[in-house]
Amino acid sequence: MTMDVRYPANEAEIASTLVELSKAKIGVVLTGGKGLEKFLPGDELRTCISTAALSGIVEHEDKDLTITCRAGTTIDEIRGVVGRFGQRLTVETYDPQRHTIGGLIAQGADSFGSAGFGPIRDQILGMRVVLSSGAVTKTGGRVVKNVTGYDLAKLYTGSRGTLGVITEVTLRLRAKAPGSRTFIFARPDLVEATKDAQRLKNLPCTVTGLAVAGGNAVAPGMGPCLVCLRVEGRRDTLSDAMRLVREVAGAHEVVDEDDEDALWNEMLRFPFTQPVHARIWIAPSTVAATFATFLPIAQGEGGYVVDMMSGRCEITLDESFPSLDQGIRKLGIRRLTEGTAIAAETPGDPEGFLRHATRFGAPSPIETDIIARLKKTFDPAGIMGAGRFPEDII
Amino acid sequence: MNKLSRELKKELEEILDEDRFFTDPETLCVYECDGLTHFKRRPLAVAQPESTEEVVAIVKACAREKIPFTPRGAGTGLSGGALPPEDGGVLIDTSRMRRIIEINADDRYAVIEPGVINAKLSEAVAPFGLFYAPDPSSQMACTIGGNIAENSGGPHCLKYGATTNHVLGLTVVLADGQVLEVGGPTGRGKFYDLVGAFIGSEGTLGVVTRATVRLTRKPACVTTLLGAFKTLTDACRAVSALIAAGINASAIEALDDRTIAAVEASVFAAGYPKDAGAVLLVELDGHPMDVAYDREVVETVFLKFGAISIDSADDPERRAKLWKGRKGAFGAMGRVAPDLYVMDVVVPRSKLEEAIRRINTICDERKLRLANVFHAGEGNLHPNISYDGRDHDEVARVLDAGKHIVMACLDLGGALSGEHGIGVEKQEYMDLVFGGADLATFKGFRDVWNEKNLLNPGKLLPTPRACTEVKGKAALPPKASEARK
Repeated sequence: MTMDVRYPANEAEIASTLVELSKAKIGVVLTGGKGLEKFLPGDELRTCISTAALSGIVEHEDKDLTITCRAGTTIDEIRGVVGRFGQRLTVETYDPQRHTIGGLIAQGADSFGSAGFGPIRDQILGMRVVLSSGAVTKTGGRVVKNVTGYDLAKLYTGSRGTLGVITEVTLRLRAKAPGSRTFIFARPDLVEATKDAQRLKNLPCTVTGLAVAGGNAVAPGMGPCLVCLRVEGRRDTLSDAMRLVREVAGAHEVVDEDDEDALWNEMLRFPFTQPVHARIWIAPSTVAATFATFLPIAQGEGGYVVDMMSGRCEITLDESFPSLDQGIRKLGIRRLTEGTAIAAETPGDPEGFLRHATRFGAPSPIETDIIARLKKTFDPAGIMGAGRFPEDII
Repeated sequence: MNKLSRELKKELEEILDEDRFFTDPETLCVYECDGLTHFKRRPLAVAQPESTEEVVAIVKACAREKIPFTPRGAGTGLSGGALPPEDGGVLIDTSRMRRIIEINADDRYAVIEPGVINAKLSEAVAPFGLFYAPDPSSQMACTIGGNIAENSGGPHCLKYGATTNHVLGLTVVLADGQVLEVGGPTGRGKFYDLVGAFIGSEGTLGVVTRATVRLTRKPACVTTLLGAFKTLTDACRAVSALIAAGINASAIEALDDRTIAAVEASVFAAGYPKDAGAVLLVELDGHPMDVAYDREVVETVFLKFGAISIDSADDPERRAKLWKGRKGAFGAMGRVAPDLYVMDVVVPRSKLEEAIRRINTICDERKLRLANVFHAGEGNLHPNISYDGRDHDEVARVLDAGKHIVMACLDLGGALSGEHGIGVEKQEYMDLVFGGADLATFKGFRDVWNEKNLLNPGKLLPTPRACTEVKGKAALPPKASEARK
């Protein structure tokens, strides 16, 4: 499929492009890369705006532990700059060379590091966004504490490009960890794995990752279930952590320092490699009981990776279906999510928002009304995230 | 001016018992201001609901009669957020909604009503080895509902974050009486993050009637250090060094000599050295070995910047004593003068020293009694100006100083508010920070929730009346005027 792809280099170009497209009522789809990876019917009539040219560090205030960068800046680039000052961005992703900060924010992408530092939304201090009217707006600021005006950065985070184009963000940084260690435990089943994970959560250490994986997410011979724990601290603390971990959960393996990042990256990456991938958030103590109701998982099909601190569950099937809807239906998630507060999504699927109601049930009528009015307010022309936002909400 | 019609009064009396609905002048007088006592307005009535259903009924009745209404927690806010509407309105006091409905220790969350007092929540979850992290100085009195409205912080938000990092779900009565439930124990909503966008909205988007909040595991080890310095400049430089050293302190607080004097002469006396130019309170928590290491680093930094004494405490009682002075600092200022203007501004941490210098100069030039207390670790300053509200000349100088302090902080790349909010106190300055498009977007956002502007009107965003009262805008320092955009 061919699609008009634009690479605006600054906010003014984005603004004028959006004004032009609004007037012509041409739908807009955003990407951080060089065009879309997955197309939807109708995309040939839409315009793709890429933020790839909108990259670079605007300002790194190392003494204030903040960094301001353009949305198209890759995570690797940010890490490279702040790493030289012994600092880090606590946002993790499995493809830091390709993934941009704007893209991760727009997806509301979270990672295991949320355990220690909060989700991605908590790292954002300020943001600039261009709306479909051409208005160039900002929210927040560049200081680490700020309650000035409405916190629209929270609204834009996870909005998947349906409200505006994020052009620049100011992020909170942390000092690099003095050291970290990852421990892995094999467990016979999810019940045992989650029990141990809940106990490990209470270690008197800084836990920056606690995950349970099973099914085909675990390499043959390693499981059936794995518990993975990452703690950070100084050398003495990490040695003591080993002792504490043994007391709480018994025998374990310690992952080589050189392999740590690869392991956590793989746990982030794995779900996206599977034909069917759904994500739900549930209270960690309910994981085992809930998963027992997912028949395919209970029967040993597919796999899962669960962040046992946040309750983010990535559930996958390695079977291909004519449509993702059918795969999600097989998992049986909808009976958990429909009419409840349990959130769910299909990450990496451009129809994630569009088909949310089919897959997981619609939000309540009142929430739907607020969503619709927000969409109309921020994107009166209705062009943002074209073909990806439920028309019955707009 | 709005009036409470006989029909509306009767309807509200029927919704609430007679001891939960007030129109008598003696009671209304109590509600005429919050912690920002400079602004006072009597409400038409005060309603004290005890349930979501009662809040819905009150809101629907007021909305139908086009009577504005304002939610209020404990009234400890410092920006006028709970000030009754200017043209008359009903105050919805949620302090009777104070049940802790559920504590889930396994998944570390609690479900509570908005009138739960901040410190009481931590007390209630302490037996589970948990606490509620945001700890504003008013935590013995302020309510979680109010904290949500203002995105309150406190000393320990340096490490643990502010209220927005600890609220997972909300039940909100909207301006038309509909009830919105969003989020939940995991903090993840469907589609847009309505919980996140709601927090800090200063009571202008809805009335919170229930909240799910995150609880945090109590650290294994806590140490509090008190460093006394010859000058506030030395203390500020020590702060910069601590940040640069990557110390993950849970709190870094500073008090200057005038604050120390007031505190040590008061019931909040904590034993701070009276000859110190400033003290720093640094708290470390976590694994005992990490804490021990960091403690050595802190002490080394203290000595490097000329600390004249270092005290420390590991046990809860002695730690509480060290904190007593800091937590009681605002109250202690009551010894100095009848009134106190507690300001709230933020600057980048690297600009602390310069900000303090400018603030001191501004107040000295106006012959004002200034004392500085601040969250040094985040650059969140609280210049406290003591004054006598009966002295109109002094009041004028205080307000003038306030404007210049705000502008000085913006000039240094700061923000209008770190934790008190905008309310009525700073709405006139919003267009120094945000341009027309930004403010229009804020207004559009607010109108989605509060289209008729009956819910806490006249707050947060500039109003035409607020703008015309600003004097001397043409005399902005050049960088502050650029800060508009």
